[in-house]
Amino acid sequence: MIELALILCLLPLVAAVFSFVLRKSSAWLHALVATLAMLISALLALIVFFHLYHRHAMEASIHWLALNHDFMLTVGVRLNALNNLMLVIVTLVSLNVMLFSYGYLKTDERIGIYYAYLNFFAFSMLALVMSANLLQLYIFWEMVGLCSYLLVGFWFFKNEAARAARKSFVVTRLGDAGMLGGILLLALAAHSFNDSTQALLAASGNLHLSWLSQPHLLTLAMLLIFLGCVGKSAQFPLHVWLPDAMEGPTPVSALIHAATMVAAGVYLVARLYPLFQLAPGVLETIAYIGAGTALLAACIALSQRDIKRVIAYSTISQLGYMMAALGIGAYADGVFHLLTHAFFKALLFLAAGSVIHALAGTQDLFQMGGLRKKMPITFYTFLAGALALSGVVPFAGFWSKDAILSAALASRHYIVYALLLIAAFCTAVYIFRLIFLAFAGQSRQPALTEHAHEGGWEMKAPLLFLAIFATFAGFLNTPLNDDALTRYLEPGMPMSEYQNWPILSMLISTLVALLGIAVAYLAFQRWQAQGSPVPPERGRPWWIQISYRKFYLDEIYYHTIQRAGRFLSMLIDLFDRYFLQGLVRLIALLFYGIGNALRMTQDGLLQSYGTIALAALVVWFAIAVFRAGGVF
Amino acid sequence: MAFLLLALITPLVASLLVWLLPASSPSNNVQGLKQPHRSHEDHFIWIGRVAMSISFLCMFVLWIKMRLLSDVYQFAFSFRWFQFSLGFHQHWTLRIAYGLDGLSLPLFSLAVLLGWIIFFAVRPPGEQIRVYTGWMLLALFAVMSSFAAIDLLTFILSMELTLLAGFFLILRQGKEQHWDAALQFLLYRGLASVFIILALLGLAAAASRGGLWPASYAVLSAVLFHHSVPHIVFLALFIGVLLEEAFVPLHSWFPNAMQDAGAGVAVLLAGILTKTGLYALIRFGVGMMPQDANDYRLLIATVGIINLLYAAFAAWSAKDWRRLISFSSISHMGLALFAVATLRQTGMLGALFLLVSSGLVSALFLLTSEGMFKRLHSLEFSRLGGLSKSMPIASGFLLFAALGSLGLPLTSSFVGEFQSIFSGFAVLPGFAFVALLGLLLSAIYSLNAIRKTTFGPVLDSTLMQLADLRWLESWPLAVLSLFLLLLGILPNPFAQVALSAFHHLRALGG
Repeated sequence: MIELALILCLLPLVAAVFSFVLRKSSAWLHALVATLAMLISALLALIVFFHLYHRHAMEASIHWLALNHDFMLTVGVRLNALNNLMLVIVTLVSLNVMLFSYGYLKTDERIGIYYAYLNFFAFSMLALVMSANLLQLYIFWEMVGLCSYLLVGFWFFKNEAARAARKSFVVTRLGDAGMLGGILLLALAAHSFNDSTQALLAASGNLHLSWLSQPHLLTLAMLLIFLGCVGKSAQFPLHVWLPDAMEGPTPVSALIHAATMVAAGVYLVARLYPLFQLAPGVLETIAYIGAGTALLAACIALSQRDIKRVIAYSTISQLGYMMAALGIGAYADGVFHLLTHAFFKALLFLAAGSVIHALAGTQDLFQMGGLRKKMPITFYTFLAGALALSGVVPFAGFWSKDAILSAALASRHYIVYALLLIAAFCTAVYIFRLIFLAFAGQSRQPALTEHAHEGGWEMKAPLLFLAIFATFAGFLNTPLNDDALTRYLEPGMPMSEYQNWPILSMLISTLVALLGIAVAYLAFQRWQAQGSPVPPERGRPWWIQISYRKFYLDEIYYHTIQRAGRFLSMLIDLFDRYFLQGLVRLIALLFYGIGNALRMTQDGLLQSYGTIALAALVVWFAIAVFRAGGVF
Repeated sequence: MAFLLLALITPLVASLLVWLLPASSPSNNVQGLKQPHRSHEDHFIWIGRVAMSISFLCMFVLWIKMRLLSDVYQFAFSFRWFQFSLGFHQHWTLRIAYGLDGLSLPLFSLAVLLGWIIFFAVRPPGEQIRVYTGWMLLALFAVMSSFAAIDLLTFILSMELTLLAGFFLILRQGKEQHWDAALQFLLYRGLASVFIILALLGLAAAASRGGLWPASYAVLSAVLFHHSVPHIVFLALFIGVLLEEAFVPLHSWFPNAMQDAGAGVAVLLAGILTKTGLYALIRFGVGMMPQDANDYRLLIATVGIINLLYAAFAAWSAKDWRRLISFSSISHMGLALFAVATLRQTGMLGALFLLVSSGLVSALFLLTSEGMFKRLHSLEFSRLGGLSKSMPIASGFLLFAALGSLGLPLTSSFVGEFQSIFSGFAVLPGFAFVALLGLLLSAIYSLNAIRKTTFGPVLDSTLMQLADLRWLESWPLAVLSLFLLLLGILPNPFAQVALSAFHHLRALGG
């Protein structure tokens, strides 16, 4: 099994090298190689998953680096329930993205480079998931960040893309710096980078350093590691990079938002769950940050005009749900939502990509409209994704989202529950606002939408495939089948906990979702009755303006942190250029002056030498006479 | 032994050969045949290439023959230089002695590798080739010899020779204002060697037995391991290192010299010459005065962290590549200094990794940006932009160098960084937390520069028509990148060799 896992991880790397070396060859070749490699990987992932379904974890490592005479670092592969599930999700979503990308980018001359990056992205994520220890995980964590940097900046000649790429790297790097600190602290205390070993030691209270011991050490380290997850999974306050990251090609957004980049943060919290559970304060923090992020991002998504931005904020919001689930102790529900979200979010992004492709790059919702008849497949698949996202029975999102909500109720986290419920309402509103604006009614820019049509089969097939998952994936884990996924992820859990139907919670969340859809419909009707005015840039009501400007967080960061950093660097530059250099010149001048002064005595004139000698003689005599007289 | 001797002596012999051969008279060119790429002094650079290639091959043999887990000096040889008679039956013999251990072999190899690359990647203007080749070979010999020295006198002589050769290189190779930069180099590094020589004399005096001052490293560390040295000796060494290594606030000479130097000289400066100071600190300070180093660890760590942050901020506001490269090098050396201050094996290993990878990254930065400079005649960010469009290969290498500089995993910089911080958390946690900030700052300044140079819209049409790097220009960059990756992906062979030199640090902990 370990060998199979290695092969499934390395195949995309081989494809990446192939595309990089032969980057000048034709587009279909790259797409074929990438898709084939990912198809085999996906099959292997399924084989690994089912083969190890009822078995214990497997792990194998080899030496990598000696840190000193008794600390050997290793690299290796670990296969367990969570990791195998992630392998399946990542390969399945990547497979669809690989195929779809061909339709989306086949006319781009740098498609070879694109596929090289995309394959390397998938490889990094697979390697991250299979990592046997935290340092190895961090290595691929950074590789994932690098790939997202490269792909977001793929159209590097656009200024926004260049800025967004740098922003995505730097903002996540802020989290990563903290995360590296946390990992190193844990490893130093446990004398091992292996997280299972660390969890064992922590459970018996044996983690300590010379300057800090167990409860505080663990809290500090886990907080730092969570900082990395906040950055990667775009949680408040480090979420600002994700909406900008949609400057990359749309299939890349699908990959980043569904399977590779942002899932890594949630995955890490889930993976280190035994450690997080020993730091309950950190878990509470995670719950509130997650719930807050879910609501904040949902509010922002309500008023965005850009189709991709709406979906991007929806990702942030849904990641907030997952984090909140993990924070309140609903481990399996968080992972379950990660799974369903991966499918319906990839679907939403690819369908949005299909729309953008059909409209020659237009992303403004107010210029669309009436696309339902032009692009039926895109519309119906998008609808499936939207219903899954809003949590309508029986679509995938319903089961996972409701599991989180009922878990919040069951664990008496009423504030978290309230925040998530309001967010659920907003979710239904914003996604159906998007559907009505883009697909319903009449075309508002006939010139633009006139020639809109579906893409080729390579774009339709992934949409249909993902739509099936977005519709039915929820049945993996319902009370109907005794919460199979939960029992798979948490085999030790007692059965009784999962056998009751949370009827009340299900009713409430369904009602909330339907209410949201109804509100979106009424608002759309009213808006159409007013003659479909395009909202002005300024002069909106203030509550909409705040949402539209994303609570001014970008501006706040710009004016505080970024400005302060720039100012400090400018200050140091001035200090270096003028003060230090000036000081050096001053010292040089001093020596120069001394030299000059001394040079004057050496003017070569016999008379002046004589005068000085005479004067010295007189002084000397005077002193001698006074000394003889006993004056001194 | 034979291979070390060969690796060392070839550049020296080649340098002498360059000086002895007559300079071809420029009268060959009076025909009016303008041949900008062919020069009448072309054969001189081939002397350099052949000589450094021999050293380069020898270096591989040295790595293969290096015995692991042995902390004695290997490949050692020495010859008597002269002898004092100190009365009846007593002689004081001065020797030139060479040998390598796990600490010096990596740095020695760095010098050989970069020297080899310099001769293939950089071609100075035609009429300067002879002078340049002669001094460059001498400088390379000098710096290799200071890494391979196992005797105080040999080390001091090599250091002085480095100073001399470096001075003339900067003077004769500079772009503008050569005299200022060269003089600053001479004064700062001259002062540095004064301090270091004083410290080394103090060391020898402290270890003296029966009026004889031992000069061999092995004897010195054996004797001094059990005896303490006056603090003033350590402080003198430390000040010397700060000057030599261009640490803030004694760094002014380094960015100035880098600003004016030709590419080859800049690689020599940033890649090799600014690595000798920390080597001296580890070799003499930690290796021979462990007690003093321990007493001053807070001071060393503070200076290191201040350098890390100060230089990172200075690099952030740099307006051109050369200044950015100088300060990024200082910043990395600051982290390495902090790692040394932890006085643990892991920290020393991290410092060594940082030294080598900083050398590689600086060289990669300098040579790639030189390819752009040759086409644009400017390295100021305001004149660049969107170069990925016309020069994708050069932009790729530049991005790779930036990633190496920000410590991306799978490059050797990451190995050095995490080892340094890991070791820092064990003994100096407060400092280590601050050092984490360096991770963020290096990402900011590196990617800022990349965004301004290769990303973004193309500034004007001249930038559109630039030719990309040719194969001859790009293969040295590929070699450098390969080494950066190799050390980052498979660091263990390197680490095992290096660790063999740090046996004695076990007394100080982990």
